[in-house]
Amino acid sequence: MKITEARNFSFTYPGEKERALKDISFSVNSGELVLVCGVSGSGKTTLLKNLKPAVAPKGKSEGTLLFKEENIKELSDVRASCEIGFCSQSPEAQQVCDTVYRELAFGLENTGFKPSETAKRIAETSMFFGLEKILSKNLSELSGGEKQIVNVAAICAMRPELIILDEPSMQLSPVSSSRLMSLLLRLKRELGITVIMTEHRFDDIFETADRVIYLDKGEIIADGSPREVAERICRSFPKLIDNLPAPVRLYSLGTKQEIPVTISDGRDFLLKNVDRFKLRAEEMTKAGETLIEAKHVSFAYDRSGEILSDLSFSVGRGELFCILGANGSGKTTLLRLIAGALKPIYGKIKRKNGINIAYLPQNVMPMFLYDTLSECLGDGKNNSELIDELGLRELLLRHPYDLSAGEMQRAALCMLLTSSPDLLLLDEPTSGLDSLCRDAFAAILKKAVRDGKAVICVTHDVEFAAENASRAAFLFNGSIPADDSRRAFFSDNLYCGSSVLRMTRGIIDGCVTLRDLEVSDE
Amino acid sequence: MKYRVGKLHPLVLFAALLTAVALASSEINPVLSPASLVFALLAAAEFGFLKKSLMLFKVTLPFFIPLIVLNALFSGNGVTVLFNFFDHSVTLEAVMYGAFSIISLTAAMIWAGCLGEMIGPDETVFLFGRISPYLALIISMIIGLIPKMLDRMEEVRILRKINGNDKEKHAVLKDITAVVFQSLEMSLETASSMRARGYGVCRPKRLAPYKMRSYDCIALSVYAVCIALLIVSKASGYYYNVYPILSAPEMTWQTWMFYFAFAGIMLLPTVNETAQKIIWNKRKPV
Repeated sequence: MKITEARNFSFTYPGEKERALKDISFSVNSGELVLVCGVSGSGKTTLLKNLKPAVAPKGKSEGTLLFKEENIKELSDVRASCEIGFCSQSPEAQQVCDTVYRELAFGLENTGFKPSETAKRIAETSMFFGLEKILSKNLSELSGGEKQIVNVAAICAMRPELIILDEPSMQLSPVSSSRLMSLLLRLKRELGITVIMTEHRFDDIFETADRVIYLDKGEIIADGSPREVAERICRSFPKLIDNLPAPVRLYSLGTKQEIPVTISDGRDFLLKNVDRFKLRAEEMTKAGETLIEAKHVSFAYDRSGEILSDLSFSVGRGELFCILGANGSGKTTLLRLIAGALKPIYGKIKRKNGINIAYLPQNVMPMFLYDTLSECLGDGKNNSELIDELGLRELLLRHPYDLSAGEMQRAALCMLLTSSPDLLLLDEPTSGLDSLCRDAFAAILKKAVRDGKAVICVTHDVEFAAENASRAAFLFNGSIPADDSRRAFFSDNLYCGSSVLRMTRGIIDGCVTLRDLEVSDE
Repeated sequence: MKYRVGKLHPLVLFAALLTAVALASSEINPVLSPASLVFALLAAAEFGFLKKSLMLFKVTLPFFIPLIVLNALFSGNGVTVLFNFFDHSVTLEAVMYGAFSIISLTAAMIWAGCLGEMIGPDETVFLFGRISPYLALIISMIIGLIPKMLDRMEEVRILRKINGNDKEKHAVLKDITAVVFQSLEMSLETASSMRARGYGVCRPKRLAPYKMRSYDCIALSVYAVCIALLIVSKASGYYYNVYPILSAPEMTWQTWMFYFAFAGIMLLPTVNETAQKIIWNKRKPV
């Protein structure tokens, strides 16, 4: 049975000449997991929001959207609320109440369920999602991953037939993201709930989706199984390959054979063609003048336990040092100590005299205090070249909050680079960026490093660190056990490795990213 | 949702504690003011609020002498003249009224503290949900928003400190602006989420997670009887005040009835807590 269908649907935002969605037609069957892909600005969020009447953006729409063969706009409010669920990117912003229990009850209370029925549904839903022990907890005490699971549970308490998720793991760590994906797959497999979702990075979900719909500039350019979509993109839209998972990107290395889609496909492909690939020589970075040296640093917020314990490391000019660690491992605390916002309880952090430090927080929104980007960037007085380099010229008259995640990140970086810092501290800089935006951001950082700056980046984005770090380390148990050059560090990892490493392990050892591979002509 | 064993239903607790606050503030005389304070301290000790209550004395004690002096100087009531200050007679009654006012105020503050300690956010939302489900939602959202705003303020402050804008003009105002802008932006998504989950579709039926138990019914009955006795004694002429003359109370049946009802209301929460502790000690699993 078709659960939802679009028939020549187009959408234009108010005041825009260009249509955001152009004659979209597709249908989704009940029980499918559909992944909607596309680069930033391709229309993914616009499409998903239009499938849920209560959150549909204001604008001019043409064509029809159907839910169970009824026009979506004609659904009753109760049905639209209960049968179609919507989960957005920010785990915190979409929460209404103060406790988990009340958050689960919110939707049921507002759609006229009796208190006894509400309590029963909460009991059932909390058992399924494993939330019984945290029912009375304040939402502010939960991690990002737990918050998002509560959000999905709150939607599921209303027993939807269709759940729409707009980049639900954008702000989550890989572990939390993986847990959320497992839950969604469980909803699909065990309960037959249809799931339509977008993701900015979809390496893991791509191969498990039943269908993939690829949007580009508001149009569907591919619609089918993951393999069909991969083939279509590779053969007809090669510029978009970099946005696809690592196995598919092997195609860009010049092979004209069958396109690998899964990790095991990628391994099979490499095994068959092992003679054609070799490991490229590593470009070793020599660190310049030491800018920061931490010696035996320990720190705690209270006496019950140290966050950082006897930690030592140093960073010099020309280095991009990536520190990986789980949520709560102390990464942000470490950056604040380096920046001088906090003082170590024991140990010392030596900074070069006169060093200029700039800090890019995980959430860059508080950096923007004016109504236009131009005002935030100082009206281009000292940074006109930088604005052009970062591709911000056309965005200057826009409100900063109207920018996409990638644009906001670049704008924030521009604000910091204007002050010519010696050392850049980045806290989860790739959170919310798709692959192309992440690569563009990485290019800016690499240029800064070549210009003699140092960058310390704390992240749980293994792919980003594997691609771009000159040195990497784990923050574990309050200290850095060992750090190493990019290739040596990542090729030694088993569980925290890039998807390329998982493909090449045991076949081409030492390869952690595709650029480590050299391919000879067929 | 876990609820402490033997705790009174929020409605009963709220009514009893609020009445105690009202009685403590209104009955200012040599008998009931000290009695209110003693009952309040007993309740605070039972509810684990004693340490904070004793801190309240630090707030009220500095006003003890000033209030006595002010009342003596400005109140012309009372018949027992102690001395004359210029053209004004300073009476014993005015001095004592000032003293008992502070005692009653302290007692009322301790009762209010007990109210705050025993009625948490969940109970508050439940109570206001009885009046208006929308009001309950607003309270719940405010309770949820406060820690978020505090976290955002801290993040913004650290950001400003690190990026060298610490000494910027109007720095605190800019911090508040940043937090408010961000919160407003995020509130759009919160509003979307509310609409997506049916807010405004129909009048909400808030959950009632608290049930009336046998001890709630007993407490409610005792409370109702005490209120009735208070009303009857007042209606049939009970009156005792410092003014016009400081003297011992006339022990009529109305006075006994009022004191009995007063003690009943003031002791109700404490006696329930003590009784529940005894019951727990007897019945708890070995």
